[in-house]
Amino acid sequence: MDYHEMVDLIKERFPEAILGYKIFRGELTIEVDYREIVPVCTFLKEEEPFRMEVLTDLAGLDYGVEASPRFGIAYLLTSVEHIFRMRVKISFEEGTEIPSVSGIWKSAEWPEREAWEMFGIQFVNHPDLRKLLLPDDMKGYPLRKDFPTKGYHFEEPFRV
Amino acid sequence: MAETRYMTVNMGPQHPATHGVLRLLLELDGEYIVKTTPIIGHLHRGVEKLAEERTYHQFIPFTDRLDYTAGMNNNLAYVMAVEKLLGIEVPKRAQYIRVALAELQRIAAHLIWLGTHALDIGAMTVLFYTFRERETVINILEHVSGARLTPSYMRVGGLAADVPDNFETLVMDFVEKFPECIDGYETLLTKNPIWLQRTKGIGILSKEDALNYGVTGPVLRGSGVKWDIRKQFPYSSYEDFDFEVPVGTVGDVYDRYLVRLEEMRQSTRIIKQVITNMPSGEIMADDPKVSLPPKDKVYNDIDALIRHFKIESSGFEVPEGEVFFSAENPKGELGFYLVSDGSNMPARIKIRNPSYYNLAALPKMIEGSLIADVVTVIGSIDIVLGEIDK
Repeated sequence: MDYHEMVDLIKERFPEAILGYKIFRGELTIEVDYREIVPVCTFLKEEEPFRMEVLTDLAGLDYGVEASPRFGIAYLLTSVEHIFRMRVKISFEEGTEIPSVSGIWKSAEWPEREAWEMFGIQFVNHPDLRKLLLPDDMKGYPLRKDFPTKGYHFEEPFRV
Repeated sequence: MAETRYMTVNMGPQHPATHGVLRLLLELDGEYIVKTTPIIGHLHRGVEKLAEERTYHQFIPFTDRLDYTAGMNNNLAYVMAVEKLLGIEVPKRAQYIRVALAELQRIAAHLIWLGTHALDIGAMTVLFYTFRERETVINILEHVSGARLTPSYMRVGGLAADVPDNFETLVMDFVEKFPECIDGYETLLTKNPIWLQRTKGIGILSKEDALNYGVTGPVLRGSGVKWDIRKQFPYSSYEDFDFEVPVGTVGDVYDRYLVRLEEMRQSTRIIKQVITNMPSGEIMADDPKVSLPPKDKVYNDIDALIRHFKIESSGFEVPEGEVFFSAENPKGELGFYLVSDGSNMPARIKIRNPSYYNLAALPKMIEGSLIADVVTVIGSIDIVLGEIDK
């Protein structure tokens, strides 16, 4: 089944949720409305011909301070049964509440925590949203484009 | 009615058996573990943020330091992701050399795993033998790339330089005598009653859980899923070689041990095929955007000089788009998700680190086990904190 047929199948099932798709270097990326991400992901996980049992990666994205919408998330799904991959992307403004997919794939828990602490993406229905890689008292969202690489307190001596 | 409270014990970031700076909060009911919370981030270096201010070429040394036991494999995964984004083809000789080095590095990484895992459980002898063999491999890697642990040898489009003349002899000598060394390690452990008691039935991860948690590599294969990126999405001429993918049945520590031992044997098999069929030719792609001109041209021809200067100072521009490429590392599936905005620096690099996802499944694996089993299971999932914390 080729990529265009797959997209048609998804569009048939979710006519308003699919905002577009792209095929680049042999990879399929579909753009989804962020409000529908949980139904679309549940459909992709459980229904034939997709059966994408594995969420390989979840990446937060910042398109730039001037861009609108500013943030995005890319979900990379893999089907072990049918051996193919697909990317699902959503984009939204700052402060939007994004439904968590950790109820569908347990492997989403830690990457969503990381996306929250690095970009400030607010997830709802996440079992345990707290800082993962950064110190608990750190302020700011480091991977945003307006956060300087050296941080805000680079010149000060390190407080013990 | 008495209320049950569990005791919380901290297995601190400094611990000889956590394979790095990993902190585990264990809630205990006597000796049994009720809940575990891993706390990571002590080795977080902000690699993804630093990548946004460097060219694609300048990021290669950062990849060495992710999983510092498998430098060549990390280089390969990153460099192939950039090549996929650029859409360039690497010459056959470079692909074969890449496979040989990646498999040698896989053997070195598994030797560290075996030595330290056995040491954690108490079998100290194994460490000395595995590290002796590892010295031979690391010496070959140093001869080729100049560094033992951080080679930075792969380049976008091929390799930094061709391998030295005695590379094939050195590698064949190692590969001829290595299978008996693996047999030696097996005589110490595989049928040892203490080893069997400590590892059989411990840390079981079922097939459904393994897929749901997104674990990859020997942990996934130990749980019975035959999934190896080298076979399902072959890269860098892996389809030319004949090798098996070992799979376990139960998903316990013993299965993962057997899977990794067999992987070492299969890596030896692949390396033998690579060396016997090594083609001659170029080691860098013919694309003028990424490959440096030869040195004598640079000194004599103005166009070559200008091109050399442009590539060295500001790198190459990459078409706009995004790509994901993953390779089968010793720890699992290392992937790079590159987002490019058309300039010479990446807009976003997301590293899909295998040990991160494998560690997230640890609380599931040790629910209900004894404290002594925590160390066994951590050793069996083979984590490297440099990769988890990026």
